[in-house]
Amino acid sequence: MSSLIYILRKTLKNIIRELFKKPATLIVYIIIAAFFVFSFIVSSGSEGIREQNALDLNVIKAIFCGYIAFIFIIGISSSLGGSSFFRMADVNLLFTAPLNAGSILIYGFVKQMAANILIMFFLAYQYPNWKRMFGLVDGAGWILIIAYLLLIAVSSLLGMVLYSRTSRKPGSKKKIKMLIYLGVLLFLMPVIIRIFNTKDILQSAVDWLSSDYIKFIPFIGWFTEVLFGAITGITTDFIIGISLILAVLIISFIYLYRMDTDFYEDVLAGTELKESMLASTREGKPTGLGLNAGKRYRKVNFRFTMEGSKAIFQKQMLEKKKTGIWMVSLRTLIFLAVGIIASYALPLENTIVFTILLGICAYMMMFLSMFGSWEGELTKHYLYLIPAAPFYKMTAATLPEVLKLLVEAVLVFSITGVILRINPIIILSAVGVYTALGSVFIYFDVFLRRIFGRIHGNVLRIFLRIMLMFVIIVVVVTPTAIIIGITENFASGFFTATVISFCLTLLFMLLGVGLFANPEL
Amino acid sequence: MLEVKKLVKNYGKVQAVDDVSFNIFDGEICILLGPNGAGKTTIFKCIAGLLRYTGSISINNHPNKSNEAKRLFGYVPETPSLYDALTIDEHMEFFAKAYRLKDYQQEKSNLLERFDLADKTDKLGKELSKGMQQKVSICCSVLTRPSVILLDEPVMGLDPKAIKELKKLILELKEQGCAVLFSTHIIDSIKDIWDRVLIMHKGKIASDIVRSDTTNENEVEERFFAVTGGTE
Repeated sequence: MSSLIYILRKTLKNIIRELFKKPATLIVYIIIAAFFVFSFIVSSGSEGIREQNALDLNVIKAIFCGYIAFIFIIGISSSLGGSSFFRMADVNLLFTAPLNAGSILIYGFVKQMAANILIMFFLAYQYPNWKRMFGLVDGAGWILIIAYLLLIAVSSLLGMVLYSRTSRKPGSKKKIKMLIYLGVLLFLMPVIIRIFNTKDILQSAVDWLSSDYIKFIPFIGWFTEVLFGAITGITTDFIIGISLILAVLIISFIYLYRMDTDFYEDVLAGTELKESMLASTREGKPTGLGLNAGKRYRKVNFRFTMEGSKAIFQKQMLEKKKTGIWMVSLRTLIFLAVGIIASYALPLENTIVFTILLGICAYMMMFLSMFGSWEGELTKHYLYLIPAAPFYKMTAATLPEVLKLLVEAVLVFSITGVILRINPIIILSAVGVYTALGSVFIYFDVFLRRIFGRIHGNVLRIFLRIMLMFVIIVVVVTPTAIIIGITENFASGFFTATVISFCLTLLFMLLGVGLFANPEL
Repeated sequence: MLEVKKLVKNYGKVQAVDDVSFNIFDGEICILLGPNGAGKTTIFKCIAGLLRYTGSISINNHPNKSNEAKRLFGYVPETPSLYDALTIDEHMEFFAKAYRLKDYQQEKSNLLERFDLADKTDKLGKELSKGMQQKVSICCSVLTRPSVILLDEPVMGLDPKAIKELKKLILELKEQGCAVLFSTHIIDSIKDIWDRVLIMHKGKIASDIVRSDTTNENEVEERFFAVTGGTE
């Protein structure tokens, strides 16, 4: 075990040491930490006061319960694969070493927890919002943190226990998965039954998820009570819940440490998959839900006709053509579905619905457009060897992403625009805003890559994008809102937003172009 | 001709290349020989323009990062890296277009034939073994008709027939006046092709051997062990 602690200790030490070698990254992390502390200080000022507009307690409990059920089930299911704890270096170096298998599993678990702690820091930014929205009590921040850590720990550990049991017997993993699905179905059954009576999906879900019966459901119920302690304070249910959770945690830990299971073969396959997914992420390919694993490419008839740097553009278009759906991604389809539902469901004036949809799509794009395909170009030397000016190379490498945005915008806003009977000029200007804003994100990433080098963590990326979002709110959204307010003309407001975004894009292009001249591969 | 003058490359506090200078003339095969970590790959990457450095590097009198120079050299990296979604043929076509090559079809077919890739042109990059990826990488760089070719550990992963073909190809390039820089740490792999050997040790050129000046066929090996501190 000491050798594993040594790896963890040294890894942490080296990560910190590396940070000091990159002052720019270090500064950003310090700012993140400062924001984290600031969020806590600001929100602690109004503790104990339940704001008037805070949500109904039943709704809050239902949100907590739904969230926990989601995280817990996803956590257990993914742990069953056993792949998420290890990297290839662990397989090659630790699995072959004379170490206790249980210790290695615990080592994997600790690494998993560390990765989740970073996500927890990111979630902490939302703390002031939650405080207002949910009306949290004194010390609620600590309850939320402890509950989140326990939730991750228990779902990971239980997943590992199940994994270690099932990896020995062929077919048992399938049985456990079936049991999980059955459990989910049973959990949701009361909601389904209530829908038949009330004909109201939302109310039925809130009624069941906030009911007193929930606390008797292992884990999900216990966690709901613990999390609900952030609003009600420490209650008997809170104490019972946390005691049961801790008991399961300790028993699982002892069980895992003592066992000597032969899980390596399954983990090897899972780890190879994980490595290929990580490599894909680095190269800007989609990896969500492991969709990229074992991806098939279509055979297409294609001839290179463009020369010089334009060949890079054409190559990327060929790659997109081979993936089957060309420029349309899963994100586009989701946006389109949300848009169509919103068009029919929202009881607001059509142009307002359309504007809200534009805002939501642009906001969601901020999180869903990480790792563009241009990043894959940077990992290969060909881009740098091609005799062409860096600006042309940058344009050629990034243009397919911009076109993808354009196609997305045309699809989403023209279809929803037609449903909502929006003026074609407004539709056209919305397409312009969406594409231009998306381009700002793309070239902001180029600029960041030039400043910080490759950013591995999503947390840092999301943080920097949130910072960019503040800039966009000030520089793009505010003038747009003013113009719409004064002229009552959405088209001219959107046109203004497009022009400002285009200027921002140009700025980031100029600041980032050096990336394509000095690679440091 | 490749000219490297006072090349220095640091990674943090580690000096990977320490004031290295050398020239490779047209039609010369120069071997960069050295133990692991001697700085060979770093020199290749500097010449290919993939790293920042101090000093100067020129190819036929053009600075190495200029487009004029890029048109003149070919580079085969230590680890082949192909596009997953492109077939072998599409890789070659992409190269031809990116380098604005004319009348390359015959040359392309010849290269694919020589490296046993002619019947596999529809295979995707991700379907190829490491050795096959290396062959594609070599074919792509030779297709551009380089005046200077940089081959960083090119025999790694190749089968014996491909190694033989590669050596033949290098000799043909030499005949055509191409300057060849070839790195390896396996002395036996270069015995019959070298004109000049630069032995690297700890980021410096520790020895410069010209074939015409040697009398003993084991001289490279002896000098290698002498300067790197190893024993035979």
